[in-house]
Amino acid sequence: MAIRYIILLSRQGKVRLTKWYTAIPQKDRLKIIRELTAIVLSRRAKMCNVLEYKDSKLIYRRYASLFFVAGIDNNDNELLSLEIIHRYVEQMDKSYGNVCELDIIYDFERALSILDQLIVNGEIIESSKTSVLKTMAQQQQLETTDELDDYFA
Amino acid sequence: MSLVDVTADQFRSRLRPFGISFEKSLSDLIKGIRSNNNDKQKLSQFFNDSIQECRKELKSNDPELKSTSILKLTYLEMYGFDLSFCSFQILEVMSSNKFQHKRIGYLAAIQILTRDNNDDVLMLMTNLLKKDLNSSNYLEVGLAISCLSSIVTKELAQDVIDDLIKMLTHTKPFIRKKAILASFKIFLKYPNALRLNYNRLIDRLDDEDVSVVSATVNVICELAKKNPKNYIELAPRLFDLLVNSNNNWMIIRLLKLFSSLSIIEPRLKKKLLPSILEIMSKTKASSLIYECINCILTGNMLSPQDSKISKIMIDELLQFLTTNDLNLKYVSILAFIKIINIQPSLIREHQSLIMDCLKDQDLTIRSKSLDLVDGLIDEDNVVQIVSLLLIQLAEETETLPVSYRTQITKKILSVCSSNNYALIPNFHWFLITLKDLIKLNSNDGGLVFEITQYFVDIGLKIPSLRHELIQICIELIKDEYLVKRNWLTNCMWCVGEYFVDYLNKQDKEESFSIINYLISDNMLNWLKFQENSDNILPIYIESLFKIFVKFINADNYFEDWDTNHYEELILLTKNFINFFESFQYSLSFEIQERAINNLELLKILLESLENNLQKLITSLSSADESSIRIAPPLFLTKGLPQFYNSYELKPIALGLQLRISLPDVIDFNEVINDEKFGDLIKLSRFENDDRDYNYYYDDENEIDSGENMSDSSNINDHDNETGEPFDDEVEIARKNAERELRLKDDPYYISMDSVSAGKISTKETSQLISLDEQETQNPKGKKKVKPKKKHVKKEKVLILQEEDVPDNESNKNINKKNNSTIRKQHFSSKSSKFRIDSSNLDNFDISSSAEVTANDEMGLPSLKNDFNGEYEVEQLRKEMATSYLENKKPKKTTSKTKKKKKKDEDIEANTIKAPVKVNKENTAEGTNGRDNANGTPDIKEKKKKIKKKKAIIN
Repeated sequence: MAIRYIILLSRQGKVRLTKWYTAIPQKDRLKIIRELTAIVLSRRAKMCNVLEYKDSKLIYRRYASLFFVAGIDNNDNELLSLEIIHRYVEQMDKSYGNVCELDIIYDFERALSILDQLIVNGEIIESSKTSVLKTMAQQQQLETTDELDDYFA
Repeated sequence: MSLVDVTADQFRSRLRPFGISFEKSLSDLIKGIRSNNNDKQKLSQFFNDSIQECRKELKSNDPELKSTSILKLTYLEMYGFDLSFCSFQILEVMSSNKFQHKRIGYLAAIQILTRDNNDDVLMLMTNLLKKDLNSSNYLEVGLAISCLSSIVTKELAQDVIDDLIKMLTHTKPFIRKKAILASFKIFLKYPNALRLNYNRLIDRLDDEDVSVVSATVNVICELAKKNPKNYIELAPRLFDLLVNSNNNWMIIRLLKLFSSLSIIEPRLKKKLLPSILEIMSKTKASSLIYECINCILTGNMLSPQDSKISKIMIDELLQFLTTNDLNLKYVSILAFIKIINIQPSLIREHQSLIMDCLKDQDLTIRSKSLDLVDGLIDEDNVVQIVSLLLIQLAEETETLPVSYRTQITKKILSVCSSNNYALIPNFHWFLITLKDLIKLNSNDGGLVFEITQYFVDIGLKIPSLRHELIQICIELIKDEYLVKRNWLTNCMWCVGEYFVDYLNKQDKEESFSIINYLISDNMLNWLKFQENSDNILPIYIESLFKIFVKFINADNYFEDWDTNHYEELILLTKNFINFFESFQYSLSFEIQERAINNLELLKILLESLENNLQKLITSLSSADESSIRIAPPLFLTKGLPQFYNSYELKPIALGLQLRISLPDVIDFNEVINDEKFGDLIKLSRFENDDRDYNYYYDDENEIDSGENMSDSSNINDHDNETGEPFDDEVEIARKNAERELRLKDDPYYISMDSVSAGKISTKETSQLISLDEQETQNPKGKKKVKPKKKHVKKEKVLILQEEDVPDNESNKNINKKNNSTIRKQHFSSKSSKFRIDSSNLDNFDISSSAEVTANDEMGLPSLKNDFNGEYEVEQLRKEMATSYLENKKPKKTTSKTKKKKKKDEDIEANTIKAPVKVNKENTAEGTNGRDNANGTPDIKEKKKKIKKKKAIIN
C-alpha cells in the first residue's frame, strides 16, 4: 500500500477533504487528523516536506491556503509521493479552472472523484495528464444526459 | 394533470432538477457551517440539526432528495460523525438508475461504509456490485470497482472475484487497470484467488496500454513485498520492461520490485546494476535517481568492494545535499544512512557537509542526520561532533523540543560508549561532558539516571579515573540547586565503591567534611521527604556504610590511636548510628533491613571502641603518656573491611552468567546437603545486585570454604577466612571455577606490561569441569599515544574489557540439537505424499499469512474456516488449483520431482541440513531455467534431464 490516506487541511487547521485507503477505525482517524494537524501547521516554510509520524511518513505540501497531507509507508519514495500530490493539484486546477479552497469545499464531490481517477487503492493509477480529465468530462456528460432524460421523461 | 392537483411534495420534486429546492442543498449546508464557524456551541447545534434534517429527508421517497441528503451526510462525515444509520439508504442510492445518484451513492459508500463493519449492508451490496460490474456502461463498472477496492471482506471477495477477473480483459484500459489494482485487495482477503488467477494477472504485463502494465507492476510489486520468491520467474519480463519503458512512474515501481527480488536472488545484481546505473545517468527526475539509489541499497546490491558504484551514488546524493531543496536533502541523508553501513569511509570524506546538516534549521533533517553520526564518528572528530551537539543543547534550550534534546543526549552517550569507549581521546573530557549533559538535562530525571549509569561503568572499567570520577560525583551529590537528584543513587554507589581511591589522594579534612555532609540533618531530611526515597535509600544506606568503613580504615588513620583519635571515631560512629536509626522503622523492607544490618555492626564497633578507649585511659593514668598505644579493635581493621575490600568488581558482559554452561556432573534435582545449605543461607548477606547492572557483587568470600582450596592453588590465598565448609564437591568446584574465571582478570594479578602484551595464557583449569569454554578475553590496554591535535589532549588510559565467554562448543551443540530435532520434525511432515502439492502451493502459505495481516489492517476479524463443509470446499479448490498449475507449468513439477528424488537420497544420507540444501538447489534450478531461455549452453543438459522426468510423470 503506497498511500494510506490523503487529507486536505486549511491553514486554520480545518479539514477540507479526507480520503482513506486503509480501513482505520473512526476513533483513530480523528486522532490521526488531530495529531497531524498539529504537526503540519507548526512547520515553517523553510522546512522539508517529509515527516516521520509513528510507523509511517507524512508527505505534505502547501498550495496557497491548503495543506495537502499524504500518509505513506516508510519505505515508499517520498519524492514520488510529492509528485502525486502535485499531480492531483494540477488536475484539480484544470478541472475546476484555477482551483481555490472554496471550490474544493463546495464541490468536494468532484475533488474526490478526481482523486478517484488518479489513485486507486493507494496506488497511482493514471500517469497521463489528460485522461483523468477526459473521464471526468465523460462522467459529467453522462450526468447531464441523465438530467435531460429526466426532463423529457 | 393540472398544476392545481399537484401536491406540495410533488411540486417540490418537480422543481428540484432545475436547482430549485426547498430543502437544504449541499452548498446551503456548507454555507451554514461556515457562518457558524466562530461559535462552537452554535456549530455543534447546527451539525445536530443538519443531521436530524438529513434523517428526515432520507425517509422520503424522492430519489433526488435522498441522494442530496446522502451527499450532505458524506460531507458531514469529514467532521467525524457516526453515520452508520444511513447505510441502507446509501445502498438505495447506489442502486439508482441515474448515474448521478449512483455516483453519489458509491461515493458515500466508500467514505462512510468503510469505517465500520456493516455486515448486513455488505451482504446486500454483493448483488448490486455484481450487477454494476457487468454493466454495459463502463463508468458504472469503474465505480463498482473503486468501491470494491475500498470495501472488501472475505465473503465479498469470494463472491465477486470471478466478475472482477473478467474485467481484466475489458475493452477499456480504464477498467482494466482499475480491476487490476482492485484485485490486489481481493487477493489479500482471499489468497486462493491469486493462485487461480495468477496467470491472467501476469498476462496484463503484455497489455498494449502502458498504464495497465504499470498497474500490473504495481500489484506484483506489492505482492512481492510479502513473498518475493514467487515472482522471481517474472524477472526477465520485468527486466525488459525496465529497460524499454520510459514511464518514470512505472520504472520506480519496477525498481522497488527488483529491490525485493534481488534480496532473495543475489544473482540478479549482475544484470540489474548496469541498467540501473544507466537509468540513473540518463534521467533528470530526482525521484527516479533517488529510487535507483534506493533500489541498489535495499536490494543488497552494493558490497563494500563496489567502490565505483558507491562513488557514483554518493556524487548524485551530494548534488541533492547541496541543493536548496530540503526534500532532496532529506532523502539524501536517508540514503547516506544506508550507505554508511556498507562503506563508511566514503561518507566520512564529506564530513563537513553532514555536519552542516546537523546544524540545519529543519529539525527533521537534523534528527535524521544524527543517525549518520554513528558511522561518521572516529577518534579524531569525536570531540568536535560532540561539542557541536552540546552547544546545541546549551544554546537552544528554549527552541528545541524535549524529544530532540533526549535524542541528542542519547546519541552522545551511545557514540561515546561505543566499542568499549574506544573513541574517547581523553576521559577527563568525557567526564566533564557527562557532567554537562546532566546539568543540561536536569529536568529529565530518567535521562539523568541513564547518564549516571555511565559513571558506574567508567568506575568499573577505568581504574585510573576513579579519583576524578568521585570528585565529580561528590560535586553532584552536594549540588542542592537541582531539586530532583536522580543521579544520587549512581553517584553514591560510585563514591561508596571507590572511596579508597579518593582517600588516597585527598587530605583527611576534606573527606571528613564530605562524610559529615552525607549524614547531616539536611541530607537526612531531604532523603526522608523525597518521593522516590524507596529507590534511593537502600543504595544510599549501603554506600554510606561502605564509605564509613573505608574511611576509618584509610591508611592515614592507623597511625595515632590516642585518646583524641578514639574519641573522634566514637563520635563519628555515634553520628552514623543516629543516621541509621532514623531508618530502622522504615516501612520499606529494603531500607529497614539495610539500616538495621549496618546499625548492629556499628553498635558492635562502638562497643569495642569504647572498651579500648577505657583501657587506654586506665593505662594512661598508670604509665608514661607518649609510649602508650592500644591497637585498634580487630573488628575495625580486619572484620569490617572484609565485607567490602576483598575483591574488586569487574565489568562483566551482559548475559555472561547465562552462557557459562552447566557441568554435566551437577544434578539439580538432587538435594544438596540440607544442613549446610541452611548455613549457607544464613551466611549470605543481602545482595546488592537488585539494580539493573549486571555486575557480580563479590559477596562470595563469606561462603568460600577454607578447606577446599587445595585444588585451586592459583587462586586467592588471601581469603580463607570466614565461612563454613560445605561438602558438595561439585558445588565447590563450580564456585572455584567461577572465581578463577574472575580472578584471571584481576588487576592485582596482572602487571600493566602483560596487559598491553595482550592475552595471558589460560590458567590451569579445574579437573572436575571442562573449562574449555571459560577462556576469557583478557583486558587489553587501550593505548592512545597519538600526538595531540586539538585542544583536547589525548590520554592513554587503561580500559578494562568486559569479561566474556566466547560461544562455547557445548552451547552450540545444544542449539544444534534443538534445531535439528525441530528440523527433523518439519522434514518428516513435509515428506508426506502431498509433497508436490505443498511445494507447488508455496504462495498459499505466504499469502494466507498475508491475509491475516490484511485482516488486521482492515480491523476485521479474520474469518477462519471453522466449518467442515467450507473446509472441504477449500481443499477441493486447492486441489483444483494444483492440477491447474501442474498442467500449466509442467517444467516446474518435474523439477520438483527431481528435487524429491534428491531429497530421498539426502534422507538416506541422514543429513540434517537436507531441507535447506534442497531449497537452495530449487531456486538455483529456477534461475537456471531462466538462463536457458536466454540461451546459455552449459545448462542445456540439465534441461534435458528435466524433460526426461517429465515423461515419467505424465
